[in-house]
Formats: sequence, C-alpha cells, structure tokens
Amino acid sequence: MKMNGMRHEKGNNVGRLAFLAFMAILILVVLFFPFLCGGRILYLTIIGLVGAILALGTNIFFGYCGQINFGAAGFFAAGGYGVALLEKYLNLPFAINLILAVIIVGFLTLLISLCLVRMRGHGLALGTLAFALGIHASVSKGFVAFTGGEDGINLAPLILFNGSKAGDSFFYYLLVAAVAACYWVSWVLRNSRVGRAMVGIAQNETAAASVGVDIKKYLRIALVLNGVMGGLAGGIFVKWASWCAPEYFNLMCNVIILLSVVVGGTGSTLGAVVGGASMYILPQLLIALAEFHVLFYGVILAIFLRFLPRGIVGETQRLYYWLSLRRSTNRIEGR
Amino acid sequence: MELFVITVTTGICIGVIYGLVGLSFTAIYNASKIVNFSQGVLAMVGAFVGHLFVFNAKVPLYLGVVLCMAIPAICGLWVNRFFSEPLLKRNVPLVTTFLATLAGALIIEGLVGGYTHFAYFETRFVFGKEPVTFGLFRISRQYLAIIIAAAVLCIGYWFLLNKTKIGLGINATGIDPDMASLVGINLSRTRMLAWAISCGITGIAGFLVAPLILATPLMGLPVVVDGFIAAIIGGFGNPLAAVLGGIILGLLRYFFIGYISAGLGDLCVFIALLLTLALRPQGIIRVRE
Repeated sequence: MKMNGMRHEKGNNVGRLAFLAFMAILILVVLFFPFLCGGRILYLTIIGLVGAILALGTNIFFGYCGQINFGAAGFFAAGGYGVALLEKYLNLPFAINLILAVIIVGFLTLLISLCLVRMRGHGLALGTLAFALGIHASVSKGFVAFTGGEDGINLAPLILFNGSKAGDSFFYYLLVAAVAACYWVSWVLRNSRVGRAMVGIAQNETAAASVGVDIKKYLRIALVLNGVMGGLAGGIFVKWASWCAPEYFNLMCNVIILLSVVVGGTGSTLGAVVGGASMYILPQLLIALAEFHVLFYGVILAIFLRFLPRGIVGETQRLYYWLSLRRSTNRIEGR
Repeated sequence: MELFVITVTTGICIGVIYGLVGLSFTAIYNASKIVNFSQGVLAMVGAFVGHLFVFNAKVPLYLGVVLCMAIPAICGLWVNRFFSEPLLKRNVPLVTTFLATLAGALIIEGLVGGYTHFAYFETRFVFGKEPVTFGLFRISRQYLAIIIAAAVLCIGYWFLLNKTKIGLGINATGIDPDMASLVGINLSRTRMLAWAISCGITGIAGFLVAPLILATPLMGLPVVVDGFIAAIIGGFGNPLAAVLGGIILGLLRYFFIGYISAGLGDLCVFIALLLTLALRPQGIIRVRE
C-alpha cells in the first residue's frame, strides 16, 4: 500500500502529505483505541486481531509458496494447548509459557514438515488436514485425562506487574504488537531472497528448482513460520478467553482460516490482515444468521473464487490502477 | 470372541462406506483430474433424502433408493457446472478448484443445516435389525445390505468403466482431454456423466450408513475426510483399491477402538494416513497394469 502510494504520487506533495497524515492518524487510533471504545467493540477487535495473525501465518505457506494448508487450526490448537498445559502442569508465568509454547509448536511443525513437504496438491491438503484433525482428536478424545477432553482447561486470569488483572485492553496491545511483528516478518520475507524463492516455487516449481532453489528447504521454512504464527495466536487467544477447549479448533476453523486468506487476497500481506479480521469479526456481528453461518461462509467463498479471485486488497488495487490509468489517458488525449 | 466378531463386522461395514466415498472420489478424479471436496456433503444429502422421503413421507423403498441416488447426483452436477467447469476453463491452479468444490459443499451443508436446524436425521435400519447367522458371524440385516450393495456398486462401476463405451470415454477424458475431444468425445458431457455416477454412489452410501453413525447435517466434512483417506491409503486413482483402502481403514479404526482405547481410533487413522503419505504416497495396494 505504501509502495503504491509512492509510485503513483511521485512529485505530488499533496498526495504524499495526505498519505503521511493518514498513516499518522491510523497509528494514533491504533494506540489509543481502548480509550476510544471499549466493551463489545474492543472484544470484536481482539477476535479480529487473532484472525489476522492466523491469516498472516497461513498466507506465508498458502499465499507465498502456493501450497495448500488445510490444517492451520492445528497450529492454533497446538499453541493454545501448549500454553494451557504448561500453566496447568508446570505453573510457569504466562510470558515464559507463551515463548515455550511457540518454540514447541515450531519444533512440532518442523517435525511434520519433514513428511508434508514431500506431497503436493490434494495429498498436501489431506496431510495438513490430518495433522489438524489429529491434534483435535487427541485433545478432545485421545488423552482426556491429560487435556480435560471436551471440557477443556480453565486458565487463571493474567496478573500484571502492578498486581492488577489484565483486562481486554492489555490483550489488545499484546495482539497489536503480535500482528505488527508478524506483518513485519511477512513483509521483510516477501522482499527478501527467501520470499522471492517462495514466490518462484508458487509460480513454477520446475523452473525454480532449475535455477537452484532448494524447494523442500523453503517449504519447510514457510511451514515453520506458519506454525509459529499460528501457535502465537493460539497461546494469546486461550489466555484471553481463559479457557482452552477443542471446540475452538474444530474442522470449521481450518476452513475459516483458509477462507480469510482467499477473501483478503492470496499472497498479499495486507490482504491477510484484512481478510483474517473481517472473517472473524463478521460472523460475530451477524448473530441473526445463527443457523445459516455455514451457508454464509460458502457463499462468500464462492463469490470470491468465481468473481473476485484477487481478494479484497487485490481487486481494490486493480480498481485503483484502472482509475489512474484512465485518468492519465484522458490527460494525454486532452479531455 | 464376541468382541472380535463385532469389531470385524463393524469395521468392514463402515470401511466399505468409506471405500464407496473413496471410489466416487477417484471416479471424479479420473474424469476431470480434480478432487471433489463436496463428496461427503453429497453423502449427507443422501442420508437427508432418505430421512425426508423414506421415513417421513413413507415413499416405497425402491423409489427412495432411486431418489437417494438422483438428488445427490443433481447436487453434484450443480457443483460441477457452477464451480468446477468454469474454473477448469480458466486454467486456475489445482488448489483453487479444490476450494471451489469446498465452497459448493459449504453451501449445500448450510442449506440443509439451516432447514433442519442441525438436528439429527431420523433414520432407522431400513432392512431390519434381526441378525443373519453365518456360523460364528451374526450380522444384522442392515450391515449385510451395506456389504451387498457395496459389492454390487463396485462390480457395476468396474463393468461400466472397463467394458462399456461410456467408461472408455470417461477414462480417455481423464488421460488426455485434448486427444479425447479430437476423437469425438464430448468432454463436458462425459465429465458430467462421471460426476453424476460418482455422486449417485456417494448418495446411496450416505443413505445406507446414516443409521449407523447418527447422521447430522455436519457429517459431510468428516465423511469426506475418511473417504479421502481411504482413497489415499488404497492408492489414489484406482477405484477398487479405494474400496480395499476403506476396509483396511475401517478395520484399523475399530480394532483400535475395540482393543486399545475408544478415544484413540481417530488419532490412529490420521497417523496411518501421514505414514502412508510419507512412506508410500502411491498407496499400499499395488495394482498390475
């Protein structure tokens, strides 16, 4: 977004100033958001931020590398249960729990990635899905005595340094920091050698391999990053919800995460944030849908796949290019 | 011994159903080289049609069976016309067609779920519960009906695919679409035919299994995953290997549930899948070409 603004408004100081002012206002609003509005809106924002991290993670493997990841909820669940189990059995402080859980999820992802990077297409889709469903089955039915089964695990409220309980606004700032970090990682990755190799894999695997790209290595990196981001989202989410249960991580959760990447714009970092936030906030707003929420997801996915394949961000960019192209053509032709 | 017999019969019956769903997967894959993720939801539609017509409207059984095949076939054709064909023409990556069939699945599931409020379908053992005895084995009539129906469907499908001109066309379309259209095969019509046959088989599988697994509108995605696993374990692209894969899967799951731990049944299936994908991606059943 920043790059587009620069490229098209070069030498146009008004446009540049407007862009800077917009960014400044955005940053101010983000910083003081909990003071501006609380309660339900803050609650929805937190859910949206969790969705944004999940979508950012999945965007690396699915968007950059072009490999389907149907098991993002598995990483989410692994992070959540990592934090919950560490708290239940070791009783460590939350910060250490979160870091440990993210590291554990990273290693777990590395382990399964050894097997997953050998597959493509439908095999990969099913392999990742089997991972997510395996995690779900083991926490909900497999090891009930250890994980509490469908009843889940209750987590103690987070106590801050000044002795008070952490409220929604604390988790808001934590999640904003996490989203910013994941966004930064995605953005740097996309503009680095590694990210370009990943996009090369998505475009043509054979061509990428022929110029010396180690495909399996880059897919492993992408999957581990995906897992780490999913685990981070899960860890923060369960502590905020102060309850960790299998129902957060069911089959539908996989569908929603994949859907949010498609809706935002596959391969677009900003799109992942927009898509993740909107796909997690919208169903909360549309309570009236109640029993038709599955239909709602289906219709959204169908519309985006058939009519808006570039997603929200991609289609907006295309519209913007089209408008500016028309404007400059008009200027040249003296209209 | 009692436990062993029950485990084996349940495992084979449920496994055969996975196998039938897997067979329909490969039927579509062989014709149009895409994986239809709405297959499980079509099984759900079969169960729902059975619930609606055979149990509530008291339609005679033979008519009910025909409806259980026809209505899922129509739904499958809708997914084919509306999602898969337009995207295939645009030459999009495989992932996108996969997601498109998922969208179709979600829409069908959402409609049925919205209509029934996601409640259990009212289904009974259509063929009766009283067991039939074969020496040691005592099988309830529903289970026997499932095995017979599966055998008939498999043999029928094999015959259609290998011994008729239609099957030849379906095979040719999958192997080389351009060449097939050159020798006068109507590609889109052949694909539609393959989809209709495959979705009909899935529909009848859903109808038969409904009373055994407490069918709900949400059963679609779990069934599609199981059927898919069956197809991969057997060897993707080969219809009969998919059925054998399904039986292996069913036996594995129910032996785990019966003898080790009830909760670990699902987990062992997923581990078996990951191991198969990692060690023998071509499937565990070798086929002589």
